Amino acid sequence: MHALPELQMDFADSVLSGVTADRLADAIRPSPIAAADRIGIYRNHFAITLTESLGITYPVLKALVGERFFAQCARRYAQTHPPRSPVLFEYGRAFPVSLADAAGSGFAYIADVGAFEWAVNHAYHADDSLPVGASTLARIPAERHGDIVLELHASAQLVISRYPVVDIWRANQPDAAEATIDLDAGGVRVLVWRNGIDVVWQSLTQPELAFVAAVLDRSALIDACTAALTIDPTFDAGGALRNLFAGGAVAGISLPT
Amino acid sequence: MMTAVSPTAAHPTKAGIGLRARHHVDIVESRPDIGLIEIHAENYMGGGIPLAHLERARALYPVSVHGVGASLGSANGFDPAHIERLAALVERVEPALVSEHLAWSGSPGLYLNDLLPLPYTEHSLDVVAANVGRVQDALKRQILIENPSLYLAYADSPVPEPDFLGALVRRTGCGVLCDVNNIYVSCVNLGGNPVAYIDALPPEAVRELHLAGHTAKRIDGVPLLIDDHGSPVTDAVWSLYERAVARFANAVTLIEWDTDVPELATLIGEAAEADRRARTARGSGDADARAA
Repeated sequence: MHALPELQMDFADSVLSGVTADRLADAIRPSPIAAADRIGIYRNHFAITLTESLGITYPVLKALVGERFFAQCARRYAQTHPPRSPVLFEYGRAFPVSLADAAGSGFAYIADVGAFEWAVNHAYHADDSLPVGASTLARIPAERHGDIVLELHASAQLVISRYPVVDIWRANQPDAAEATIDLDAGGVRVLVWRNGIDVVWQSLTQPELAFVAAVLDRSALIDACTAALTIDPTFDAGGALRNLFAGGAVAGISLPT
Repeated sequence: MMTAVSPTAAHPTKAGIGLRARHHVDIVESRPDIGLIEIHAENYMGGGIPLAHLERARALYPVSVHGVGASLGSANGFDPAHIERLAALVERVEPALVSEHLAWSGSPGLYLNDLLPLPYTEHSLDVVAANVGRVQDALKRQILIENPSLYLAYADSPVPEPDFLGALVRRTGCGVLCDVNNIYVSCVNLGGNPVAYIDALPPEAVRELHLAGHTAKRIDGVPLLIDDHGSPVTDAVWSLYERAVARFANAVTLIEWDTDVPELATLIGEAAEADRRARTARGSGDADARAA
Protein backbone atom coordinates (compact mmCIF):
# COMPACT_ATOMS: atom_id res chain seq x y z
CA MET A 1 0.00 0.00 0.00
CA HIS A 2 1.02 3.50 -0.87
CA ALA A 3 1.42 6.12 1.85
CA LEU A 4 -0.26 9.44 1.01
CA PRO A 5 2.96 11.52 0.60
CA GLU A 6 4.42 8.98 -1.87
CA LEU A 7 1.12 8.66 -3.70
CA GLN A 8 0.99 12.41 -4.16
CA MET A 9 4.62 12.56 -5.25
CA ASP A 10 4.05 9.86 -7.87
CA PHE A 11 0.89 11.64 -9.02
CA ALA A 12 2.73 14.96 -9.38
CA ASP A 13 5.54 13.22 -11.32
CA SER A 14 2.98 11.69 -13.65
CA VAL A 15 1.25 15.04 -14.27
CA LEU A 16 4.60 16.70 -15.04
CA SER A 17 6.47 13.94 -16.91
CA GLY A 18 3.66 12.01 -18.58
CA VAL A 19 5.05 8.77 -17.17
CA THR A 20 2.83 6.90 -14.70
CA ALA A 21 4.79 4.80 -12.21
CA ASP A 22 3.58 1.21 -11.80
CA ARG A 23 2.91 1.64 -8.10
CA LEU A 24 0.67 4.63 -8.88
CA ALA A 25 -1.23 2.70 -11.56
CA ASP A 26 -1.65 -0.13 -9.05
CA ALA A 27 -3.11 2.30 -6.50
CA ILE A 28 -5.95 3.22 -8.86
CA ARG A 29 -9.10 1.12 -8.90
CA PRO A 30 -9.17 -1.04 -12.07
CA SER A 31 -11.77 0.02 -14.65
CA PRO A 32 -12.33 -0.14 -18.41
CA ILE A 33 -10.33 3.12 -18.69
CA ALA A 34 -6.61 2.57 -18.05
CA ALA A 35 -5.17 4.25 -14.94
CA ALA A 36 -2.69 6.21 -17.08
CA ASP A 37 -5.55 7.57 -19.20
CA ARG A 38 -7.46 8.64 -16.12
CA ILE A 39 -4.42 10.54 -14.82
CA GLY A 40 -4.09 11.90 -18.37
CA ILE A 41 -7.37 13.80 -17.83
CA TYR A 42 -5.76 15.70 -14.94
CA ARG A 43 -2.51 16.19 -16.90
CA ASN A 44 -4.45 17.58 -19.81
CA HIS A 45 -6.35 19.99 -17.58
CA PHE A 46 -3.07 21.13 -16.03
CA ALA A 47 -1.55 21.84 -19.46
CA ILE A 48 -4.64 23.47 -21.00
CA THR A 49 -5.38 25.80 -18.10
CA LEU A 50 -1.76 26.94 -17.75
CA THR A 51 -1.56 27.50 -21.52
CA GLU A 52 -4.66 29.67 -21.17
CA SER A 53 -3.13 31.49 -18.24
CA LEU A 54 0.08 32.23 -20.19
CA GLY A 55 -2.09 33.36 -23.11
CA ILE A 56 -3.82 35.89 -20.84
CA THR A 57 -0.47 37.22 -19.60
CA TYR A 58 1.20 37.22 -23.04
CA PRO A 59 -1.43 37.98 -25.71
CA VAL A 60 1.10 39.82 -27.91
CA LEU A 61 3.56 36.92 -27.83
CA LYS A 62 0.68 34.64 -28.83
CA ALA A 63 -0.15 36.91 -31.77
CA LEU A 64 3.52 37.11 -32.80
CA VAL A 65 4.32 33.38 -32.82
CA GLY A 66 0.85 32.01 -33.63
CA GLU A 67 -1.54 30.11 -31.44
CA ARG A 68 -0.20 26.62 -32.23
CA PHE A 69 3.46 27.29 -31.55
CA PHE A 70 2.53 29.29 -28.45
CA ALA A 71 0.44 26.39 -27.11
CA GLN A 72 3.21 23.84 -27.79
CA CYS A 73 5.76 25.95 -25.95
CA ALA A 74 3.35 26.81 -23.13
CA ARG A 75 2.61 23.15 -22.53
CA ARG A 76 6.30 22.30 -22.35
CA TYR A 77 6.95 25.30 -20.10
CA ALA A 78 4.14 24.22 -17.74
CA GLN A 79 5.77 20.81 -17.37
CA THR A 80 9.30 22.12 -16.86
CA HIS A 81 8.38 25.28 -14.90
CA PRO A 82 5.19 24.43 -12.98
CA PRO A 83 3.67 27.25 -10.92
CA ARG A 84 5.01 27.73 -7.42
CA SER A 85 1.79 29.35 -6.22
CA PRO A 86 -1.92 29.29 -7.13
CA VAL A 87 -1.94 32.99 -8.00
CA LEU A 88 -1.69 32.50 -11.75
CA PHE A 89 -1.37 36.15 -12.74
CA GLU A 90 2.08 35.83 -11.17
CA TYR A 91 2.93 32.76 -13.26
CA GLY A 92 5.27 32.65 -16.24
CA ARG A 93 7.94 35.31 -15.80
CA ALA A 94 10.55 33.15 -17.55
CA PHE A 95 8.23 32.03 -20.34
CA PRO A 96 9.29 34.69 -22.91
CA VAL A 97 12.93 33.53 -22.80
CA SER A 98 11.85 29.93 -23.17
CA LEU A 99 9.58 30.86 -26.10
CA ALA A 100 12.33 32.90 -27.79
CA ASP A 101 14.79 29.99 -27.40
CA ALA A 102 12.30 27.64 -29.00
CA ALA A 103 11.65 30.09 -31.84
CA GLY A 104 15.37 30.09 -32.70
CA SER A 105 17.84 32.68 -33.93
CA GLY A 106 16.31 35.82 -35.34
CA PHE A 107 13.58 35.83 -32.70
CA ALA A 108 15.56 37.24 -29.78
CA TYR A 109 13.21 40.24 -29.74
CA ILE A 110 10.40 37.89 -28.64
CA ALA A 111 11.97 37.64 -25.18
CA ASP A 112 12.08 41.44 -24.85
CA VAL A 113 8.51 41.96 -26.07
CA GLY A 114 7.54 39.36 -23.44
CA ALA A 115 9.49 41.24 -20.77
CA PHE A 116 7.42 44.34 -21.57
CA GLU A 117 4.17 42.32 -21.49
CA TRP A 118 5.25 40.88 -18.15
CA ALA A 119 5.87 44.38 -16.78
CA VAL A 120 2.44 45.54 -17.99
CA ASN A 121 0.78 42.44 -16.48
CA HIS A 122 2.69 42.89 -13.22
CA ALA A 123 1.69 46.54 -13.02
CA TYR A 124 -1.96 45.69 -13.73
CA HIS A 125 -2.13 43.25 -10.80
CA ALA A 126 0.38 44.66 -8.29
CA ASP A 127 -0.85 45.43 -4.79
CA ASP A 128 -2.48 48.79 -4.24
CA SER A 129 -0.68 51.54 -2.38
CA LEU A 130 -1.53 55.17 -1.87
CA PRO A 131 0.74 57.55 -3.78
CA VAL A 132 2.86 59.97 -1.79
CA GLY A 133 2.93 63.59 -2.97
CA ALA A 134 6.02 65.73 -3.52
CA SER A 135 4.87 67.97 -0.65
CA THR A 136 6.07 65.25 1.73
CA LEU A 137 9.61 66.29 0.85
CA ALA A 138 9.00 69.73 2.40
CA ARG A 139 8.65 68.08 5.82
CA ILE A 140 12.22 66.85 5.61
CA PRO A 141 15.03 69.36 6.26
CA ALA A 142 16.78 70.28 3.00
CA GLU A 143 20.19 69.20 4.30
CA ARG A 144 18.87 65.64 4.66
CA HIS A 145 17.27 65.31 1.21
CA GLY A 146 20.30 63.42 -0.05
CA ASP A 147 19.70 60.68 2.51
CA ILE A 148 16.11 60.08 1.47
CA VAL A 149 15.21 56.61 0.22
CA LEU A 150 12.18 56.50 -2.07
CA GLU A 151 9.90 53.52 -2.22
CA LEU A 152 8.35 53.24 -5.66
CA HIS A 153 4.89 51.72 -6.21
CA ALA A 154 4.92 47.90 -6.05
CA SER A 155 4.10 47.89 -9.76
CA ALA A 156 7.24 49.75 -10.89
CA GLN A 157 9.53 47.82 -13.20
CA LEU A 158 12.20 48.76 -15.78
CA VAL A 159 12.26 47.31 -19.27
CA ILE A 160 15.39 47.76 -21.34
CA SER A 161 15.72 46.39 -24.85
CA ARG A 162 17.67 47.03 -28.04
CA TYR A 163 14.43 46.45 -29.95
CA PRO A 164 11.44 48.80 -30.30
CA VAL A 165 9.32 46.56 -28.06
CA VAL A 166 6.77 49.21 -27.11
CA ASP A 167 5.98 49.85 -30.80
CA ILE A 168 5.71 46.10 -31.39
CA TRP A 169 3.40 45.78 -28.40
CA ARG A 170 1.24 48.68 -29.62
CA ALA A 171 0.99 47.31 -33.15
CA ASN A 172 -0.32 44.03 -31.76
CA GLN A 173 -3.16 45.44 -29.68
CA PRO A 174 -6.65 44.33 -30.78
CA ASP A 175 -7.60 47.79 -32.07
CA ALA A 176 -4.24 48.62 -33.73
CA ALA A 177 -3.94 49.58 -37.38
CA GLU A 178 -1.70 47.53 -39.67
CA ALA A 179 1.94 48.61 -39.13
CA THR A 180 5.40 47.66 -40.31
CA ILE A 181 8.07 47.88 -37.66
CA ASP A 182 11.79 47.92 -38.30
CA LEU A 183 13.44 45.76 -35.63
CA ASP A 184 16.58 47.90 -35.95
CA ALA A 185 14.70 51.18 -35.43
CA GLY A 186 16.21 51.61 -31.99
CA GLY A 187 15.73 50.24 -28.49
CA VAL A 188 13.77 51.32 -25.44
CA ARG A 189 14.36 52.18 -21.81
CA VAL A 190 11.04 52.47 -20.01
CA LEU A 191 9.71 52.56 -16.51
CA VAL A 192 6.35 50.74 -16.32
CA TRP A 193 4.10 51.29 -13.29
CA ARG A 194 0.49 51.80 -12.26
CA ASN A 195 -0.96 55.23 -11.53
CA GLY A 196 -4.23 54.57 -9.67
CA ILE A 197 -5.74 51.80 -11.79
CA ASP A 198 -4.03 52.82 -15.04
CA VAL A 199 -0.94 51.03 -16.26
CA VAL A 200 1.44 53.65 -17.61
CA TRP A 201 5.03 53.87 -18.81
CA GLN A 202 7.58 56.50 -19.53
CA SER A 203 10.67 56.49 -21.74
CA LEU A 204 13.87 57.32 -19.91
CA THR A 205 17.13 58.86 -21.06
CA GLN A 206 20.35 57.07 -20.13
CA PRO A 207 20.95 59.24 -17.00
CA GLU A 208 17.27 59.01 -16.00
CA LEU A 209 17.56 55.23 -16.27
CA ALA A 210 20.60 55.26 -13.98
CA PHE A 211 18.67 57.43 -11.50
CA VAL A 212 15.50 55.30 -11.50
CA ALA A 213 17.44 52.03 -11.35
CA ALA A 214 19.26 53.29 -8.26
CA VAL A 215 15.97 54.43 -6.68
CA LEU A 216 14.44 50.98 -7.38
CA ASP A 217 17.49 49.48 -5.65
CA ARG A 218 16.65 51.60 -2.59
CA SER A 219 19.75 53.73 -2.90
CA ALA A 220 19.76 57.11 -1.13
CA LEU A 221 18.79 60.02 -3.40
CA ILE A 222 22.34 61.37 -3.33
CA ASP A 223 23.65 58.08 -4.73
CA ALA A 224 20.90 57.91 -7.35
CA CYS A 225 21.78 61.45 -8.45
CA THR A 226 25.48 60.66 -8.55
CA ALA A 227 24.80 57.66 -10.77
CA ALA A 228 22.93 59.89 -13.22
CA LEU A 229 25.38 62.81 -13.02
CA THR A 230 28.28 60.49 -13.83
CA ILE A 231 26.62 59.89 -17.20
CA ASP A 232 25.43 63.45 -17.78
CA PRO A 233 26.74 66.33 -15.61
CA THR A 234 23.70 68.44 -16.63
CA PHE A 235 21.18 65.84 -15.33
CA ASP A 236 18.11 67.55 -13.81
CA ALA A 237 17.53 65.61 -10.59
CA GLY A 238 14.67 67.88 -9.50
CA GLY A 239 12.84 67.28 -12.77
CA ALA A 240 13.30 63.51 -12.54
CA LEU A 241 11.97 63.51 -8.97
CA ARG A 242 8.96 65.67 -9.89
CA ASN A 243 8.11 63.24 -12.71
CA LEU A 244 8.03 60.28 -10.32
CA PHE A 245 5.82 62.11 -7.82
CA ALA A 246 3.51 63.59 -10.44
CA GLY A 247 3.00 60.17 -12.04
CA GLY A 248 1.90 58.59 -8.76
CA ALA A 249 4.95 56.31 -8.84
CA VAL A 250 6.15 57.08 -5.31
CA ALA A 251 4.58 54.98 -2.56
CA GLY A 252 6.79 55.95 0.36
CA ILE A 253 9.65 58.06 1.65
CA SER A 254 12.01 57.06 4.37
CA LEU A 255 15.05 58.49 6.08
CA PRO A 256 17.60 56.12 7.54
CA THR A 257 18.07 56.96 11.22
CA MET B 1 -9.81 20.60 17.32
CA MET B 2 -11.73 23.70 18.17
CA THR B 3 -12.01 26.59 15.79
CA ALA B 4 -13.40 30.02 16.32
CA VAL B 5 -16.38 30.05 14.01
CA SER B 6 -17.76 33.46 13.24
CA PRO B 7 -21.43 34.01 12.53
CA THR B 8 -21.86 34.78 8.86
CA ALA B 9 -24.02 37.40 7.24
CA ALA B 10 -27.71 36.69 6.73
CA HIS B 11 -28.20 34.14 4.02
CA PRO B 12 -29.28 35.37 0.62
CA THR B 13 -32.51 33.76 -0.50
CA LYS B 14 -31.88 34.08 -4.23
CA ALA B 15 -29.31 32.21 -6.27
CA GLY B 16 -26.08 33.93 -7.19
CA ILE B 17 -23.50 33.76 -9.96
CA GLY B 18 -19.74 33.62 -10.24
CA LEU B 19 -18.21 37.06 -10.88
CA ARG B 20 -16.07 36.84 -14.01
CA ALA B 21 -13.83 39.55 -15.46
CA ARG B 22 -15.93 39.99 -18.63
CA HIS B 23 -18.97 40.91 -16.47
CA HIS B 24 -17.17 43.31 -14.10
CA VAL B 25 -18.65 46.45 -15.62
CA ASP B 26 -21.97 44.99 -16.76
CA ILE B 27 -22.94 43.64 -13.33
CA VAL B 28 -22.35 46.93 -11.52
CA GLU B 29 -24.18 48.94 -14.19
CA SER B 30 -27.16 46.60 -14.69
CA ARG B 31 -27.49 45.45 -11.06
CA PRO B 32 -29.27 42.15 -11.79
CA ASP B 33 -31.62 40.73 -9.16
CA ILE B 34 -29.35 38.00 -7.83
CA GLY B 35 -28.62 36.88 -4.28
CA LEU B 36 -24.83 36.96 -4.21
CA ILE B 37 -21.64 36.88 -6.22
CA GLU B 38 -18.80 34.43 -5.88
CA ILE B 39 -15.17 35.17 -6.68
CA HIS B 40 -12.22 32.88 -7.20
CA ALA B 41 -9.99 34.07 -4.38
CA GLU B 42 -6.73 33.72 -6.33
CA ASN B 43 -7.89 36.15 -9.04
CA TYR B 44 -8.20 38.97 -6.49
CA MET B 45 -4.97 38.57 -4.56
CA GLY B 46 -3.47 41.67 -6.13
CA GLY B 47 -4.74 45.23 -6.50
CA GLY B 48 -5.59 47.51 -9.41
CA ILE B 49 -8.59 47.08 -11.67
CA PRO B 50 -9.74 43.60 -10.52
CA LEU B 51 -9.88 44.68 -6.88
CA ALA B 52 -11.50 48.01 -7.80
CA HIS B 53 -14.27 46.14 -9.65
CA LEU B 54 -14.71 43.78 -6.74
CA GLU B 55 -15.04 46.72 -4.36
CA ARG B 56 -17.86 48.14 -6.49
CA ALA B 57 -19.64 44.80 -6.82
CA ARG B 58 -19.39 44.01 -3.12
CA ALA B 59 -21.16 47.26 -2.31
CA LEU B 60 -24.17 45.76 -4.12
CA TYR B 61 -24.12 42.04 -3.28
CA PRO B 62 -23.02 39.66 -0.54
CA VAL B 63 -19.80 37.94 -1.63
CA SER B 64 -18.68 34.34 -1.43
CA VAL B 65 -14.90 33.83 -1.55
CA HIS B 66 -14.13 30.53 -3.25
CA GLY B 67 -10.51 29.40 -3.05
CA VAL B 68 -9.02 26.91 -5.48
CA GLY B 69 -5.42 26.78 -4.33
CA ALA B 70 -5.24 25.89 -0.63
CA SER B 71 -4.50 22.20 -1.35
CA LEU B 72 -6.19 21.02 1.85
CA GLY B 73 -5.48 17.38 1.02
CA SER B 74 -1.74 17.82 0.64
CA ALA B 75 0.13 15.34 2.85
CA ASN B 76 3.18 17.63 2.86
CA GLY B 77 1.34 20.59 4.28
CA PHE B 78 0.40 23.71 2.42
CA ASP B 79 1.91 27.07 1.69
CA PRO B 80 1.42 29.35 4.74
CA ALA B 81 2.13 32.44 2.61
CA HIS B 82 -0.84 31.58 0.41
CA ILE B 83 -3.12 31.17 3.40
CA GLU B 84 -1.96 34.57 4.65
CA ARG B 85 -2.98 36.11 1.34
CA LEU B 86 -6.35 34.35 1.55
CA ALA B 87 -6.81 35.66 5.09
CA ALA B 88 -5.97 39.22 3.97
CA LEU B 89 -8.50 39.00 1.13
CA VAL B 90 -11.18 37.64 3.47
CA GLU B 91 -10.50 40.41 5.95
CA ARG B 92 -10.86 42.99 3.20
CA VAL B 93 -13.93 41.54 1.45
CA GLU B 94 -15.85 40.46 4.59
CA PRO B 95 -17.59 37.70 2.65
CA ALA B 96 -20.80 35.91 3.65
CA LEU B 97 -19.18 32.58 2.82
CA VAL B 98 -15.67 31.21 2.30
CA SER B 99 -15.07 27.87 0.64
CA GLU B 100 -12.34 25.52 -0.57
CA HIS B 101 -12.11 21.99 -1.98
CA LEU B 102 -11.74 18.43 -0.82
CA ALA B 103 -8.66 17.91 -2.98
CA TRP B 104 -4.93 18.47 -3.18
CA SER B 105 -3.01 20.53 -5.73
CA GLY B 106 0.68 19.88 -5.08
CA SER B 107 3.01 20.60 -2.21
CA PRO B 108 4.54 23.81 -0.87
CA GLY B 109 6.33 25.42 -3.83
CA LEU B 110 4.58 23.26 -6.45
CA TYR B 111 1.08 24.07 -7.67
CA LEU B 112 -0.39 21.65 -10.21
CA ASN B 113 -3.38 23.87 -11.00
CA ASP B 114 -6.03 21.22 -10.61
CA LEU B 115 -8.19 19.71 -7.89
CA LEU B 116 -6.49 16.35 -7.64
CA PRO B 117 -8.27 13.35 -6.10
CA LEU B 118 -7.61 12.02 -2.62
CA PRO B 119 -8.02 8.50 -1.36
CA TYR B 120 -10.65 8.59 1.39
CA THR B 121 -9.04 6.87 4.36
CA GLU B 122 -8.70 7.51 8.08
CA HIS B 123 -5.21 8.86 7.41
CA SER B 124 -6.29 11.29 4.68
CA LEU B 125 -9.11 12.43 6.98
CA ASP B 126 -6.45 13.31 9.59
CA VAL B 127 -4.51 15.27 6.96
CA VAL B 128 -7.50 17.19 5.62
CA ALA B 129 -8.95 17.85 9.08
CA ALA B 130 -5.63 19.29 10.30
CA ASN B 131 -5.35 21.54 7.22
CA VAL B 132 -8.98 22.70 7.43
CA GLY B 133 -8.38 23.51 11.09
CA ARG B 134 -5.30 25.56 10.21
CA VAL B 135 -7.15 27.52 7.55
CA GLN B 136 -10.14 28.18 9.81
CA ASP B 137 -7.76 29.35 12.53
CA ALA B 138 -5.95 31.66 10.10
CA LEU B 139 -9.22 33.05 8.74
CA LYS B 140 -10.91 33.09 12.18
CA ARG B 141 -14.07 31.69 10.64
CA GLN B 142 -15.77 28.64 9.27
CA ILE B 143 -15.01 27.51 5.73
CA LEU B 144 -17.14 25.28 3.52
CA ILE B 145 -15.56 22.28 1.82
CA GLU B 146 -16.65 21.33 -1.68
CA ASN B 147 -16.84 17.83 -3.13
CA PRO B 148 -14.67 17.59 -6.29
CA SER B 149 -15.43 16.11 -9.72
CA LEU B 150 -13.59 12.81 -9.90
CA TYR B 151 -12.05 11.04 -12.88
CA LEU B 152 -10.49 8.19 -10.95
CA ALA B 153 -10.97 6.22 -7.74
CA TYR B 154 -8.25 4.70 -5.63
CA ALA B 155 -8.20 0.99 -4.86
CA ASP B 156 -7.73 1.75 -1.18
CA SER B 157 -10.39 4.38 -0.43
CA PRO B 158 -12.80 2.76 1.99
CA VAL B 159 -14.73 5.83 3.20
CA PRO B 160 -17.56 7.03 0.91
CA GLU B 161 -17.09 10.69 0.00
CA PRO B 162 -20.24 12.05 1.71
CA ASP B 163 -19.27 10.18 4.90
CA PHE B 164 -15.77 11.65 4.64
CA LEU B 165 -17.27 15.14 4.41
CA GLY B 166 -19.58 14.38 7.34
CA ALA B 167 -16.61 13.28 9.45
CA LEU B 168 -14.75 16.45 8.46
CA VAL B 169 -17.72 18.54 9.61
CA ARG B 170 -17.77 16.78 12.99
CA ARG B 171 -14.02 17.12 13.51
CA THR B 172 -13.45 20.69 12.35
CA GLY B 173 -16.78 22.51 12.48
CA CYS B 174 -16.47 23.26 8.77
CA GLY B 175 -19.52 23.42 6.51
CA VAL B 176 -20.16 21.72 3.19
CA LEU B 177 -20.42 23.22 -0.26
CA CYS B 178 -22.40 20.60 -2.14
CA ASP B 179 -21.59 20.81 -5.85
CA VAL B 180 -24.54 19.03 -7.43
CA ASN B 181 -22.89 18.87 -10.85
CA ASN B 182 -19.74 17.36 -9.35
CA ILE B 183 -21.78 14.66 -7.60
CA TYR B 184 -23.41 13.78 -10.91
CA VAL B 185 -20.09 13.83 -12.83
CA SER B 186 -18.30 11.68 -10.23
CA CYS B 187 -21.17 9.18 -10.02
CA VAL B 188 -21.31 8.77 -13.81
CA ASN B 189 -17.52 8.52 -14.09
CA LEU B 190 -16.92 6.11 -11.25
CA GLY B 191 -20.28 4.46 -10.62
CA GLY B 192 -22.41 5.60 -7.75
CA ASN B 193 -25.91 6.75 -6.90
CA PRO B 194 -26.12 10.55 -6.84
CA VAL B 195 -29.43 10.57 -4.94
CA ALA B 196 -28.00 8.34 -2.22
CA TYR B 197 -24.95 10.64 -2.11
CA ILE B 198 -27.13 13.70 -1.43
CA ASP B 199 -29.12 11.81 1.19
CA ALA B 200 -25.88 10.86 2.97
CA LEU B 201 -24.64 14.44 3.46
CA PRO B 202 -25.34 16.05 6.85
CA PRO B 203 -28.19 18.44 5.93
CA GLU B 204 -27.50 21.13 8.54
CA ALA B 205 -23.86 21.48 7.42
CA VAL B 206 -24.62 22.24 3.77
CA ARG B 207 -24.52 26.02 3.35
CA GLU B 208 -24.04 26.37 -0.39
CA LEU B 209 -24.93 24.50 -3.57
CA HIS B 210 -23.01 24.77 -6.84
CA LEU B 211 -24.51 24.23 -10.27
CA ALA B 212 -22.63 24.15 -13.58
CA GLY B 213 -22.52 22.45 -16.94
CA HIS B 214 -20.29 19.56 -18.01
CA THR B 215 -19.20 17.96 -21.29
CA ALA B 216 -19.69 14.31 -22.29
CA LYS B 217 -16.64 12.60 -23.80
CA ARG B 218 -15.51 9.06 -24.52
CA ILE B 219 -12.16 7.63 -23.44
CA ASP B 220 -11.21 4.14 -24.68
CA GLY B 221 -14.83 3.93 -25.86
CA VAL B 222 -16.15 4.51 -22.32
CA PRO B 223 -18.37 7.57 -21.68
CA LEU B 224 -16.84 10.08 -19.29
CA LEU B 225 -18.09 13.47 -18.11
CA ILE B 226 -15.69 16.42 -17.88
CA ASP B 227 -16.58 19.15 -15.40
CA ASP B 228 -15.64 22.14 -17.55
CA HIS B 229 -18.20 24.75 -16.41
CA GLY B 230 -18.73 25.74 -20.03
CA SER B 231 -22.41 25.09 -20.77
CA PRO B 232 -25.91 25.26 -19.22
CA VAL B 233 -26.86 22.98 -16.34
CA THR B 234 -28.11 19.65 -17.72
CA ASP B 235 -31.59 18.20 -17.05
CA ALA B 236 -30.17 15.35 -14.97
CA VAL B 237 -28.33 17.83 -12.73
CA TRP B 238 -31.44 20.03 -12.42
CA SER B 239 -33.42 17.00 -11.18
CA LEU B 240 -30.74 16.22 -8.66
CA TYR B 241 -30.69 19.87 -7.62
CA GLU B 242 -34.41 19.74 -6.78
CA ARG B 243 -33.68 16.95 -4.33
CA ALA B 244 -30.65 18.78 -2.88
CA VAL B 245 -32.37 22.13 -2.48
CA ALA B 246 -35.33 20.51 -0.71
CA ARG B 247 -33.01 18.68 1.67
CA PHE B 248 -30.54 21.50 2.36
CA ALA B 249 -32.81 24.27 3.61
CA ASN B 250 -29.91 26.53 4.74
CA ALA B 251 -28.03 26.44 1.47
CA VAL B 252 -27.68 29.25 -1.03
CA THR B 253 -27.28 28.33 -4.69
CA LEU B 254 -24.58 29.54 -7.03
CA ILE B 255 -24.20 29.18 -10.82
CA GLU B 256 -20.62 28.60 -12.01
CA TRP B 257 -19.51 29.24 -15.59
CA ASP B 258 -15.79 29.47 -16.30
CA THR B 259 -15.14 28.31 -19.88
CA ASP B 260 -16.51 30.26 -22.86
CA VAL B 261 -18.20 32.61 -20.40
CA PRO B 262 -21.47 33.81 -22.03
CA GLU B 263 -23.37 37.08 -21.74
CA LEU B 264 -24.35 38.07 -18.21
CA ALA B 265 -28.02 37.50 -19.14
CA THR B 266 -27.37 33.78 -19.67
CA LEU B 267 -25.99 33.40 -16.15
CA ILE B 268 -28.86 35.38 -14.68
CA GLY B 269 -31.28 33.12 -16.57
CA GLU B 270 -29.64 30.05 -15.01
CA ALA B 271 -29.86 31.64 -11.55
CA ALA B 272 -33.56 32.45 -12.10
CA GLU B 273 -34.18 28.84 -13.14
CA ALA B 274 -32.48 27.68 -9.94
CA ASP B 275 -34.76 30.01 -7.93
CA ARG B 276 -37.85 28.71 -9.71
CA ARG B 277 -36.93 25.08 -9.05
CA ALA B 278 -35.97 25.85 -5.45
CA ARG B 279 -39.36 27.44 -4.76
CA THR B 280 -41.16 24.41 -6.16
CA ALA B 281 -38.91 21.90 -4.42
CA ARG B 282 -39.05 23.69 -1.07
CA GLY B 283 -42.84 23.73 -1.24
CA SER B 284 -43.60 27.43 -1.59
CA GLY B 285 -44.35 27.20 -5.30
CA ASP B 286 -48.13 27.37 -4.79
CA ALA B 287 -47.92 30.48 -2.63
CA ASP B 288 -45.80 32.17 -5.29
CA ALA B 289 -48.26 31.20 -8.00
CA ARG B 290 -51.13 32.76 -6.02
CA ALA B 291 -49.15 35.92 -5.40
CA ALA B 292 -48.50 36.21 -9.13
